[in-house]
Parts: sequence; structure tokens; C-alpha cells
Amino acid sequence: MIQKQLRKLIWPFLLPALVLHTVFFIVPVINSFYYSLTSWSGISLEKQFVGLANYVRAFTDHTFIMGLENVLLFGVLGFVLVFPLALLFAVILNRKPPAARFLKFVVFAPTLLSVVVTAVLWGSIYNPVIGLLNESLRTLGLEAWSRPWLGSRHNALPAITVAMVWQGLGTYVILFLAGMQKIPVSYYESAELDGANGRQQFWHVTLPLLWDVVQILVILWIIGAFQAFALIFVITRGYPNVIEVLGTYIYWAGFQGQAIGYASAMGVIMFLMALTFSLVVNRLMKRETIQY
Amino acid sequence: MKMPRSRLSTMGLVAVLLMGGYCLSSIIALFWVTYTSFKSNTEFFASTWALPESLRFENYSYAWANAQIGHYFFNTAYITVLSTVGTVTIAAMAAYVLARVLFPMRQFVFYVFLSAMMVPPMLYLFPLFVQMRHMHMTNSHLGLIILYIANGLPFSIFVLTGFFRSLPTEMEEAAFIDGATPWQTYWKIMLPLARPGLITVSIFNFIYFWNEFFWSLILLRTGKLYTLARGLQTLFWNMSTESRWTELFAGLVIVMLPLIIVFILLQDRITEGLTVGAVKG
Repeated sequence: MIQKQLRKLIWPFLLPALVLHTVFFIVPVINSFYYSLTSWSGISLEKQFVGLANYVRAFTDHTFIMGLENVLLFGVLGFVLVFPLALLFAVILNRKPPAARFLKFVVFAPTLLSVVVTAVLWGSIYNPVIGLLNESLRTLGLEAWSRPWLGSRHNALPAITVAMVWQGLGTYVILFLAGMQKIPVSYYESAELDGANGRQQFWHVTLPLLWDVVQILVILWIIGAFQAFALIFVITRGYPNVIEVLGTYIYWAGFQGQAIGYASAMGVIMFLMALTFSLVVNRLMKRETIQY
Repeated sequence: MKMPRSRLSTMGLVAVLLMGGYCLSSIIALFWVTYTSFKSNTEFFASTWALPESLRFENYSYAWANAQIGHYFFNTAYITVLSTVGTVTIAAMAAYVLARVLFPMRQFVFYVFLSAMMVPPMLYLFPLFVQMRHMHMTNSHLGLIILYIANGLPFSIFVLTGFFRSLPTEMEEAAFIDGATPWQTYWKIMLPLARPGLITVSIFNFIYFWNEFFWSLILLRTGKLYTLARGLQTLFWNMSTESRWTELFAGLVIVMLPLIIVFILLQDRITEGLTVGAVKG
């Protein structure tokens, strides 16, 4: 009876959301696959069908391969920093250290800042003339270590990774911490009775029980790594030749190079790769869920 | 019983030092930006580290007025408020139906919305841009707001559907027995019950729209339409020719401050909301 009443709401309540979602998401997604099969420049009226030529072109395009390589390097380098650090900070926060609230605040606050703020802040820190980093190295007598951090791919890769980690870490710490707080204290008590030390407790109690969260966050990380754009775009100030990722290359190809068809094809490849990676990793990480 | 708290092992000490060092560098970096924003550029170029000789508030008025940050601030504020209200209103209605009404394809529709959370914007950027140009929605705040609303829906619907599902059905049933229409039930009973969820979703959308950079980069061309993120980026890129760093830092502080204040006031709510939003998926 109630359902009969409620059914009157379906169309009026669902329609606004459905229309917006269709017009601004579903239709462009479908069109993107269509564009990717044409050689459209974005200006001409006619869209010439070229089949899979754009896809073939991508995999023979030196810059595209380089962009893909950089995505993987940023992804792996960031992962190696973010996951251990986030787990470590979550473990520390979970033991309720003094000033826990303040520490949480400091770790999480960067996550709330606009990616542009992060880029400008770190861009200034890395500035070769007035930057905090080179200046500090000089003060410490490590002048030999100072360099134009964003001047070459070799230096920009670790430098930008640090900025990414700074911005992203908070989310991971908070989510790991939330997962840890759900683990019953009695598990640790019995582990302690069995003589397990802190490290053993982490490997044999915390991590297995946290596995679901780890899985979700790894997927989140992979999708984020493939999408990398704004931070690199802003921090390199539009000089894409320093370090190019898929996102920046697609953007320039479409808006400056007027190769909408080609850029769309690269967008499709990016999406399919992110999806495949996520599915494979998800599969590899699958374990029996532990009920507690 | 006293917990046999392990004495701080070497590993533990390294861990604590690592976290302490990380937090300290974070604080120093932000402190550096803040005090530099009060220096003159001559002072700044003479020494990067030195504290300001006097507090130059002129930097702030320069950033606010001459560098247009004030203008961008108002643009961002009204775009953010309208987008947040729009998103939450439309998402709440859709979420209510998806959570409470049984109809075929319900799960399918839910997943159609969710799928957007997995798709990088680079996939559909160009068709969307072309389409919005046809609709005369590029370089316009209205276009940006409508796109923001469409963009905010998947996450909001996801969280709110979960929230509506968790509410008890008794009050709804009682309302219907008393002869309330479905609309009255939604508006007078369900929405007030869903208030905590609505607030969480509003906060997240607000922060997202306030910071949003990507779509404002794509859609806005004219300087006077810029949002804070877009304006700050332009200002930063101009530094290579202008070198007004301390004014840039004043602008940076103006952009950061509202969010830092919001976070100080709402720390628990935000961190809790994050957990609900991410882990339930």
C-alpha cells in the first residue's frame, strides 16, 4: 500500500538527476568512443571515420608512451611512500599519542586544500631562486644538493611525487585509522598474552583485519594515478616538456594540437588501462574476508 | 590491570620521529608562506628565510584588489553555494526514491550513477566541451554551476541512498496512515530525519566545489569569470614575468584560510564523513 503511494514519486524525483547525469556524463562518454574513431580536429564540420588508426598512433607515439611511463613511475613511487607512511601514522594515531587531534589535523589538512594551492606552495618551495628547499640546503652547507627541482624530468619526478604524497596522505591515514579502530581490543590482548610484540601484532592482527580497506585504497590510488593532471599541469606552469603524464598530454593534444579525435582515443585508452589495472590488482589482492 | 605497554623500541622511536618530522615540515612550510606574505619582495629576494621587518598588509590589499582575488572570492562563493544547494536537493530526491521505492531497474539506475565515480574526466572531456559549446554553456557561470551539480550527483546519491536506507520505516508508515501525501512525507518527515546525512554531503560538496580546478580551467576563458583556483593558477603562472611573490603568497593565504577555518570547526564531522563515503563502497 505504501509502495503504491511511493511509486508516484519515481519520475518527478528521479528525473532531474537522470537528465543531468545523461546529458553531462553518459552522452559525452558514448560520444568519446565515437570521436576516438575519427580524425576530427574540433573545427571542421565533418568527422572523418578512421577506424582504429588513432589507437595505433597512440602506441607508436613517443610522447604518449613517455606519458604512460611517467604515470606508472608516479604511481609506483607515490604508492611506495603513501601506503607505508599512512599505515605507520595510523598505527601511531591509533595508540592515542599526546596531541592526537592536532597531529590528525596537520596530516589531514592538506587534503582539504585545492590542488592549485598545493601546486603553488610546492612550486614555490622548489623554485630555484627563492625556493625554500634550495635555500635550506645552502644554509645546511649542502649546496651541492641544490638544483632546479622542476627543471628536468629526473628531478621533477621525485619532487612532484612528494607534493602528491603531501596532498593525498591525509585521506589514507584517516581511512586506515577508521579501519583499525574497528578491530576489537581483545584481539590485541590475546596476541599480547601469546607474547606477540608490536611488530608481530601489526603483521598478524592489524594488517589481515585491515585488508578490505587496503584493497579499496589501492584501487583508489590506481585510478587517481592514471588521472594525474592538475598538480603537474599547474606546478610545471604549462611547460609540458619537463614532465608529461597522460592527462597533460591529452589536454594539450586536444586544446592546443586540435586533435580531438586522437585526444579522445587516448582518453579511452587511459580509462581502459585504469580499469584493467584495478581489476587485475583487485583479483590479485583477493583473500577470504575475515569475519570478526 | 596495567597494560604491559611496551617501552619505546627502536622501531617505535623511528616511527615517532618520522611522523614528528613530517608534521613539523608541514607546519614550517605553511608558516613560511604566511610570514612571507607580510614581507616586501625586496626583503624576500634578499633572504628567503628571514622574518618580515614589518607586517606589510598592503600585500593583502594588492592581492585582494589589484590581483582580483577578492573578485574571484565572490565568484567562487556564489558558485559554490548554488552548486551545493542544487546538488544536495536533486541528489536527496533521487536517493530517497532509490532507497525506499521498489521498482524494476532500481539497482541498475543506482549503478549507472555510481559508474561516474570510476571514470576519469579525461575520457569524456572533449565531447562534453563541444556539447556545452553548442549549448552556449562555456565561459559562463551558469554552465559551470550546472556541470558542477551533475558532477556532484554520483557521490551524493551514493552516500544519501545509504543514509535513507538506514532510517526506520515506522514514521513513514504512520504518516501515510494519517493521510499524508508522498511529497508531504518526504518533505516533513524524511528530510528532517536525514539531516545528518544531508549536512555531511553538503560539507563535502562545498569543499569540492570551492577547490574545483579542472572544469573551471576547461570552461572559463574570461578573467573576470575566474574562480579562486583558476585565478590563483593564473597568478602563479604570471610569476615568471611579474615576480610579485609576496603578493602571490598573500593570495595563497586568502585562498587557504577559509578551508582551514572550516576544518578547525568541523574536524570530526569531516573525518567521519570521509569514512562513511569511502569505505561503504
